[in-house]
Order: sequence, then C-alpha cells, then structure tokens
Amino acid sequence: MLIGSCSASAPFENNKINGCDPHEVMGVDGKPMAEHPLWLIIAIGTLGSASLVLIAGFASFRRQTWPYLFITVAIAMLLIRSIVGFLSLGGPMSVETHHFLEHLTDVVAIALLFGAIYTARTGQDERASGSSTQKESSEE
Amino acid sequence: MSETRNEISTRIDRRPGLHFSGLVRELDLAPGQVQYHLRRLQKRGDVVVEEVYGQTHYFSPDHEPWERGVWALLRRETAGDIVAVLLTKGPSDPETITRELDIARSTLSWHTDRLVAQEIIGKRRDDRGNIELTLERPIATARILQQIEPSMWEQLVGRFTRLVDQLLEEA
Repeated sequence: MLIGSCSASAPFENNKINGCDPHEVMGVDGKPMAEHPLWLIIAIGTLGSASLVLIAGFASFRRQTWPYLFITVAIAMLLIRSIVGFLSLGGPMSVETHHFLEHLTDVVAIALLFGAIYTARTGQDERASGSSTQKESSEE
Repeated sequence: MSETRNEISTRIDRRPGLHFSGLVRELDLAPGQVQYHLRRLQKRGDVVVEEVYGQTHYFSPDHEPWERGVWALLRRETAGDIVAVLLTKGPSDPETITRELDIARSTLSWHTDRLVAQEIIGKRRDDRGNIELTLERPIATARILQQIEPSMWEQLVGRFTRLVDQLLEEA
C-alpha cells in the first residue's frame, strides 16, 4: 500500500513506520500518509462511535442495570480507539503507544462483555427477589 | 404574550409531551431563551411540566394527569407497540405479546411495570389463574396513540434496549 524505501531494525520505532516519517511516506495515491483518507475514516469512526456511546449511555441511564453499564463502557472502547487514532496520526502519540492502547481496549471490551453476560443472569435473580410488583413480573 | 411565547405555546399544544431539547431544535432558539419563556408560561399556568421517569415533558393545561402519562410513555416505541397489540388482540397474556412483537420477557416486564404504574395497562388473572394484561381505558388510549410519532432518538434508544435484552436473554 505504501510507496517509499525506508528501512529500520524494528517496524515501529521513534514515531516512525519502518524507519520512515509518516509525513514523508506516500500512499498509493501519491499523497503523504498524513493527508491520507485515513483522517476521514477516523473522523467517521469517531462520530459513529460517539453516537453509539450516547445511545447506549441513555439506555443505560434508563435501565440502571450492570449489563447495560458494562455494554456502554465496552462501546466506549470503540470511541477510545478512534481518539487514539487521531492522536497518533496528529503526531503526539507514538506508534508503540498507539498499538498498546488499541489492544488494551480490545481486552477491556472483551472483559466488559463477559461481565455483561454474567450479570445478566445474576441481575434477573436480584430482580426476582425484589419488590412485590417485580415478583409478579417474574411469575408471568 | 410575546410572539416567541405564543409560538412555544402553540408547539406544545400541537405536540403534547414535547421535550425541552425537541422544543429548542424546532424553534431554532438559544436554550436559555426557551427556558426563560417556558418559566414565564409555567408561572401563568399556560404550560404544565410533567416529570416522567427522569424525563421532562411539556403540556398545555387542558390535558388531565392520566392523559399526560399516556402521552409521555407512549412516545416510547416499544410501549406503543405493546399497547397496539392489546388494542388489536384484546386482553392478552405476556407470552402472546412477546411472541407478537419478538421482544424479550425483560423488555415487556420493564415497560409493563411503567404502563401499570401510570394506569394505562391493568394486570388481572384469568379463569385459570394466568396473568393477563388489559387496557384500562382503550378508547382514550387509542385516540392518543394514533397521534403519537416516536422521535428518531426514542426509536434508536428503544431498539437498542430491545436488541440488548434479547441478546442477554439468549446468553
């Protein structure tokens, strides 16, 4: 995908990709990587994930249960990934930190989704032993 | 009454149960301005504010409290769907409603608790002792439901909860 001949001992070192400055690396369309449509993709990703976080946050506020809270935070990991993308394309974040944070958000999202699945069942048990109306609902 | 206040009053009259954010969006005014006029309208008794489960709704004073509850709750798409099933099928057991709407039991329970609390739906036992859901005032409820169109935001949040409830129930 990239045009250019840089070389380095490590693929990601000192804010460089294979020894190249991202501003000097050319994409297949001849534009510097820093001006590549990746900006646009990350911007769309940020807007989309922010909207999803809003919807999930509102649903979580309505339901006030652990599974909804876990799912909302798991979706927020998508937003964090987009922000990490912005920070590394913009310059202040190193490529190593970028990759570390991306994989870390994956692990956190997976753990949160497991948490949501686990508490979905325990949440039902709690509700069943709750108020009289809730008892009636669980009898239905 | 100022022209803006008149406009706010007309909008609320036309769309009972409107939210503050909806008013700001429709009128293209600064939130502070809308807030100021709403406070004045409220003081004069031209607008009634109703808090329903953490959401603020605005009404003209000619709606009785029960009607205000119906307008506020049936803005939620799933609640409207549940009421629509009861209107078409008559008193129904929970299984019929979940099957008809393809929703999780927890989704039905959550909405039913609120619809019962607002006296829109009643719970009773049939001859065999099974729970049956029924509309308390079907004609008045149908008249309001006909006029309600859930907002895009309400639809998104409602459908998200339907999906999550279904996924968690199957998990």
